[in-house]
Amino acid sequence: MTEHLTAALESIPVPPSGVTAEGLLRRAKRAGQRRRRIMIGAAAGTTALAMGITAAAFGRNAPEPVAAAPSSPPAVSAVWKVERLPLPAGIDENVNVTAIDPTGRFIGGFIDKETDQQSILWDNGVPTIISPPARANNFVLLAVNSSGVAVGSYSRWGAGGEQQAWQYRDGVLTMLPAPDGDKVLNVNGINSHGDLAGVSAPSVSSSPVRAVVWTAAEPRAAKVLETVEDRQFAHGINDARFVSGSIGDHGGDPCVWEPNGALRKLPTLGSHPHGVALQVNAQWAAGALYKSDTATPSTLPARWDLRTGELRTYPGYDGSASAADDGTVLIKSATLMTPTLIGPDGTVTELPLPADAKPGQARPVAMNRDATVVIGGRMGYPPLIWRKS
Amino acid sequence: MGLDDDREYVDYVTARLPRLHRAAYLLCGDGHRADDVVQATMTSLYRHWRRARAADNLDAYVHRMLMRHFLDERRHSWSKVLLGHAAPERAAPDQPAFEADNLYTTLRNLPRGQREVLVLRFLCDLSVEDTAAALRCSTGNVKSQTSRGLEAMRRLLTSDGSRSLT
Repeated sequence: MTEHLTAALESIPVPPSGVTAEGLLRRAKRAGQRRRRIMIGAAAGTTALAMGITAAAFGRNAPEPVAAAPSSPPAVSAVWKVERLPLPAGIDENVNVTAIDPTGRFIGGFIDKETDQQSILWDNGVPTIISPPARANNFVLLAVNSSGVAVGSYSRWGAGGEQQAWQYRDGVLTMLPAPDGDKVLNVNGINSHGDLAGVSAPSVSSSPVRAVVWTAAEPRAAKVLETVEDRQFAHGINDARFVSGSIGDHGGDPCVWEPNGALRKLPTLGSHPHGVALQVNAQWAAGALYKSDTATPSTLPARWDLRTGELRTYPGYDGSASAADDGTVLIKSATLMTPTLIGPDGTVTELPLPADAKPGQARPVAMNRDATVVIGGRMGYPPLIWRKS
Repeated sequence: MGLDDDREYVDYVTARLPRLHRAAYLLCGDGHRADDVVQATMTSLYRHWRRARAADNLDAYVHRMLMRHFLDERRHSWSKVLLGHAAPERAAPDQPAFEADNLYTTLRNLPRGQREVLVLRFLCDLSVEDTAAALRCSTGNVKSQTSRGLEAMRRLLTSDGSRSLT
């Protein structure tokens, strides 16, 4: 049987990859140069560096960004401190943080293990366990608001991929209703009013996948947002009820749904014509652009101004971005050596690493609205919290 | 690294890239994330190339790195992607075979631990010991997950008669 299984695994169609050996070599060399630069900068103890970034306009396929060359090595900020987030009693590993509320008071995460997963909600650093319903799998907290209302999703063992969305408020776990009998729900965002944004599908293997909101006023009624394609994803929702997301899968178009439900596509670049808006706050949507609609590796962190439609990208980085209220972005990247913030004026701030971490071992996940608290983690270690003093 | 090191690295990566991408895709269920995992793995490999190439089993060493980066990627991307994980990928061009789709769906429906063990053991060809090292678990755990995973694949795949693994 095992030979057959190997053949079976080799027969599964795999999307084309844009990764090449030569590209990997170039990338690895750049990473090495960046790592050495960081170490030099840290040793020198200097402060942040300004970096010119992109401006683009409304409409798709704006001109290619031109980044100003760094004038001096960036350095690790001295005004940021990093420490481990306290864990619940008896829990010492496999804890991941996933969300922070805009004030920085509440932080959400989950315990990643094969069975009996639990979520965790921290209130001012004090953790509380959120226990899942019976037979829950992948019980994961995905967002939390400034009142400590947390939301997430889970699937059920033996339920053929059915997925439920849940809300945790004042110690009570409730399930969210699905539109039209859909069996797969995911809730990704919550605003301060308690309005929720997420995704709904009839099953894990069928379309349409629709963007959905649950309003605080009518939490038992899932409202489907304007639909123009078969697969649409809602990721974030702000207090004015703008919903950020994408139309199509990763290779689709970044977009926002306006408070009246109307859909607006966000601008992209000629070199990176697709993308996703993962997060939205009062003025900004933030996420990533993708190089093409095939499985290419090149992503570009991006931020859109909801008022002007301006697109700003961050050449030289890969991954995605989240935005603070003032437009500062947090770069979220699998390959970045040091957690990095980029201010509205292009100032780059590199956050300190824990004493026992090497460059590349600590990754940021999210930040609060003032860009004064960042959460993240390091594989195999307790979650981390960076605070600006 | 010198030019010879770079050439060796490129030769190795060129030969192994398709298999690594396939393994990452079967673990992630997403082509973009698979590329991310492979890129992170290969960036680390370049950094440690001289040490890595001296390993007794370089492939096992790289697969351990791949697994570590997969776990890292997963823990940092749980948010926003649960549905994306579950939803089917676009089919690769000219390969929309039902049977292969069914295999993929069956693999994705396995419990995570079983899926990881099956990919590492039967696609990446790791030994029980190397799989345990990659997953940071005991060899007994690998054996039991393998047994359960194989049984589940057999049960799922033969329930509709689409393919027999026996």
